Amino acid sequence: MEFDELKKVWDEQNKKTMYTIDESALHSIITSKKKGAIHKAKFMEYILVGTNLLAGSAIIIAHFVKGKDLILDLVMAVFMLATAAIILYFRSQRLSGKDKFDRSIQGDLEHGLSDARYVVRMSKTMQYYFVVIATLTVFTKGFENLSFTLILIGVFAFVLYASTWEHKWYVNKYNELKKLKKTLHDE
Amino acid sequence: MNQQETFNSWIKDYRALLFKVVRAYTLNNDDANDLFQEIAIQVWKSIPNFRGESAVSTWLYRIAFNTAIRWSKKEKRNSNGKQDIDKSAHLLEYKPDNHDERLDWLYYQIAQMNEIDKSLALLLLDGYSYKEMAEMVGISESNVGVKIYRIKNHLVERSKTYENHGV
Repeated sequence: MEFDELKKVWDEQNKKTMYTIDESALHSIITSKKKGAIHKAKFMEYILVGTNLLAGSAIIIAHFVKGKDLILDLVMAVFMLATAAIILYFRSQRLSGKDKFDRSIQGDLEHGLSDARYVVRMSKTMQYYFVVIATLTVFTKGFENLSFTLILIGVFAFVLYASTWEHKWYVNKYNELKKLKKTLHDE
Repeated sequence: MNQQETFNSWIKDYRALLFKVVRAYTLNNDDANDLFQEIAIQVWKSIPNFRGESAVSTWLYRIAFNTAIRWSKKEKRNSNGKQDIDKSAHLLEYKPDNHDERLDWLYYQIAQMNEIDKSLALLLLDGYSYKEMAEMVGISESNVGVKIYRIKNHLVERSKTYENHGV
């Protein structure tokens, strides 16, 4: 073929549709990331509020039913119930803040980033919280039996180690969103 | 128009231009989706910088080429461990019906070229002048002339093989 013929073949494609395009797909990619961040925040809140309420209430009930007179039991229970209340407060703050984001690509991205940042901070705070709870538990329950104490410490150490991996995962998700924002605005 | 409206309008009006670049730089549908998404993001972020000093098509071609070249290099680096980020939705669906096999062949030939030649081949076939090509690709006009001469000869020579074998 001469070049003119090649050009004719080339020009023909302008009259045809080679691809169909989903115009809202780009927006939906960002929306799905935002929903992922919201879902993680919600899941974390439910788990933390639920476990703290249950454990705190159970300790208080056991304290009074069994008649144990250990002040650390009550301190730990109050600490847990207070934590549940604080998380509920943070949740209400998070939910009330969502209206400041519009439904544009940028707004959805900012919303996703905000919730991802929230999850990362919550996850880090909960690691410190866990250390406090674990220490109180060892002091209230562990020293009755040495081997039980060692098992308890081992389990807590493992949970703490696992929580650092979980935290890293949340940080990675947050960084993905930051990278997307950087690509959209800063480069 | 705000950024969102401009983006929608550009993607709608110049999709054919973007598709050509995407198709020339990719060999399968997944890669086409990946590259189109990269280009769409770059187009989005470029909107505030557009001053209207060049035609929108020229502006978009430049963005698409730069993105495609960067994407190609990145793909080569990551070919052993592709990232799963941003793969959740497909932006493009290739429609193989009602197409000219000679066009497939032409795209295949362009895809085999190096990055600069790919860009020049697309611009040449789209009827851009040497001056415009030089501005968009970032090489001198005389260099464009030399390269275009080679590209034309290469395509015409390769087309003879195509015709002989009836591919």
